[in-house]
Amino acid sequence: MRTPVYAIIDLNTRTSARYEISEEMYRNYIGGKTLGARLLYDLTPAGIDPLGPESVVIINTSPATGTGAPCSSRFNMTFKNVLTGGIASSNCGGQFGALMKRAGYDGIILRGQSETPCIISIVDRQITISDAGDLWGKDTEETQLAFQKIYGKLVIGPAGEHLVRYAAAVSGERVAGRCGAGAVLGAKKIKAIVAYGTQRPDVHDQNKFAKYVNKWVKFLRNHPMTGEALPSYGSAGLVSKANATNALPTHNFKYGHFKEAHAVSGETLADTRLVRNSSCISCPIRCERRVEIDGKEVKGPEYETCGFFGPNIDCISMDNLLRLNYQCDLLGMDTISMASTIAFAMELKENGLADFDVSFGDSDSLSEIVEKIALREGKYSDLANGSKWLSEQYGGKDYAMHSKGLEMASYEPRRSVGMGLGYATSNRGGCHLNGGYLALLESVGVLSMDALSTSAKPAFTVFMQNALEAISASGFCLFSAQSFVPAILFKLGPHHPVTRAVGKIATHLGFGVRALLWMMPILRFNSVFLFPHVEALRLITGLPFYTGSFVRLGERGYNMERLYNFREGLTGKDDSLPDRLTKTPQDANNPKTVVRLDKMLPVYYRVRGWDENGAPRKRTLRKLRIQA
Amino acid sequence: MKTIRYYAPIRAIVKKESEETELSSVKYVLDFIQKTYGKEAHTAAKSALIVVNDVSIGMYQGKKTPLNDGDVIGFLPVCGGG
Repeated sequence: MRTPVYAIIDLNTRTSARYEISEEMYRNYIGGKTLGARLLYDLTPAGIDPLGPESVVIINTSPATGTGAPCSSRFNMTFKNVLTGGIASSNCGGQFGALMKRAGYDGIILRGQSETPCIISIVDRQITISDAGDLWGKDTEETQLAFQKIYGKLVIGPAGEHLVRYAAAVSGERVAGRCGAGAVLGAKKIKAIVAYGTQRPDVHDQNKFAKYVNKWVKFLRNHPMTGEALPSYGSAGLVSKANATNALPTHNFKYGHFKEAHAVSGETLADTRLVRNSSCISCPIRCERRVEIDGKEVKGPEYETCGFFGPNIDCISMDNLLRLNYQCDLLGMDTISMASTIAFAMELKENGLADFDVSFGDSDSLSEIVEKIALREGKYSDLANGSKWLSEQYGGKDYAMHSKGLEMASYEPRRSVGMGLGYATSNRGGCHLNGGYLALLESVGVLSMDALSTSAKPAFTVFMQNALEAISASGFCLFSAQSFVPAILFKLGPHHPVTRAVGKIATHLGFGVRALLWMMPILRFNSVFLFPHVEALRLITGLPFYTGSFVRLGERGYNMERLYNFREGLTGKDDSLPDRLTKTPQDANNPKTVVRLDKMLPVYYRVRGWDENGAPRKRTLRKLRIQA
Repeated sequence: MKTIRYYAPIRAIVKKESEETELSSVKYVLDFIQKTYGKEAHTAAKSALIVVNDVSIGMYQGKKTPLNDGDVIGFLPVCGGG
């Protein structure tokens, strides 16, 4: 068995060294974010500044990365979260991961801080660090164009250089957006990392793997979600769905429905701006939108961007939305945190607490302000610190829409209370994906569990968090998991009695899911209909992965991340949401439209095997073979 | 007058984006689609997320949801993402 090979790159001395992952660590943590969490925990002392010289940035791949399996172009960045102070993992498509692997490294570990802006080049195991020269100050597109097409690139824009706390790292047109991935590279003065190589990724059983890939691709193409819905409308198609169930954040999460949401919906995008579909490499789903704005074809917006530069700031201009999306990519900034921070600033102004020249309903002037934020110009520099920091300076904590410091995604949790629990418990902060993405089962998917019921949500949240963690760690895009809802339910539709009955039953299946979690070690089967990733992982690695051990891998990763958070001072007290979501019903006539964390958290901790403060118990760590 | 809006995949079958109607409930609109455009269109309409004024009929009275003048009934594809 070949274990992963990493390179430790020391920016202080501009040297690198080979670093082999032990077989035991590989078996337990596999790769991506789970292995990243273990390494970050081991390689850094507690309490370091995420933007200081002691910080470590791990950029790694997973077993599936670049193998040609469906949706497997992903790579991961793990580092100390700039916004929360806890763990950060930021996942990205594009070509960089696959080409870094081809260059001979499954991951790189960046330490120290370069004195001057630099570029790291990884070509066929050879690592060189050179000066960035004039590239410093350039946007992400210009920077990438400076390198030959054959390279996989990971770059930062001006926002990363100016240490905007939610700056992103960009690879091609894909973005490692969340938690300040661009800022940590900027702090190390890394403008770009490029990779190229000719080494083929290892696959344990190539013949069976090739056959399985064909079968899986066929399955994805025939599934209504991954074969029709996502290719037709992309994730932007969710705008109308969330709006239809009052789960679309509007006016900084004050409301959940926006009368004019249609103007910025995926359907309108497809009807009026879509030029063509595109995709990451080896992706049969092809959800990426190519749109035209100002005479140029650019990457279209995802759902979150449509929601946050649309209804959440009361705006209906699709043109402005497309421009802002493109601009954020050029400057290298996370659209979720950026737009959510702007919405918060708008409400601060509305309440007379601060004035950053932004107002609800006006997106015409935002382009100029977004640029000033990226460059940290004048008072706009405050907005570059995110909504938690802003609320500590100017007030408005009740409606600063973050958890642990990371702004929440575009799902209104008062109409999707399991998603609310997910936001609160997510290790990286207010993230829907790390939070288990229950919104898909509660409010925006074909199934509709009772979105206001708390009963089964803790168990479902734990299960989904573990499963999504494992899928990410293995190197697959999470969209590939959306085929787990049976195709027949899509054919019947969300209003069919059978679909509704399944949703109702799921609402009361808490004990069933808890039993399932308990039975994980004996679930020794793989199915393309449930988690197709597991069989692919087994064939790639040659390790005995089955559905049960796969979900357990996710559980191990989740607990490892939790341990890191505890070490850095984030505890159960930080598993929280702003008062707007927990104390003010979205519908004044329906007291159930709040997120009852007080009811769900204790159950969630019990299901997880954590104590009443949210700390993993010793026996839980023993069960998961985690050494603290 | 009410408006019916079609989106993929039903739009490809009925070959129009929208039309006006005087029908008074969601059920009657579904019956109209079957009668006018055939079984395939009806199946696509039934499996869509049906919204009245951008709100799911699941939050009203399901297929019995009445339609009033000025209402817009939409047949949206069930989507995903994240």
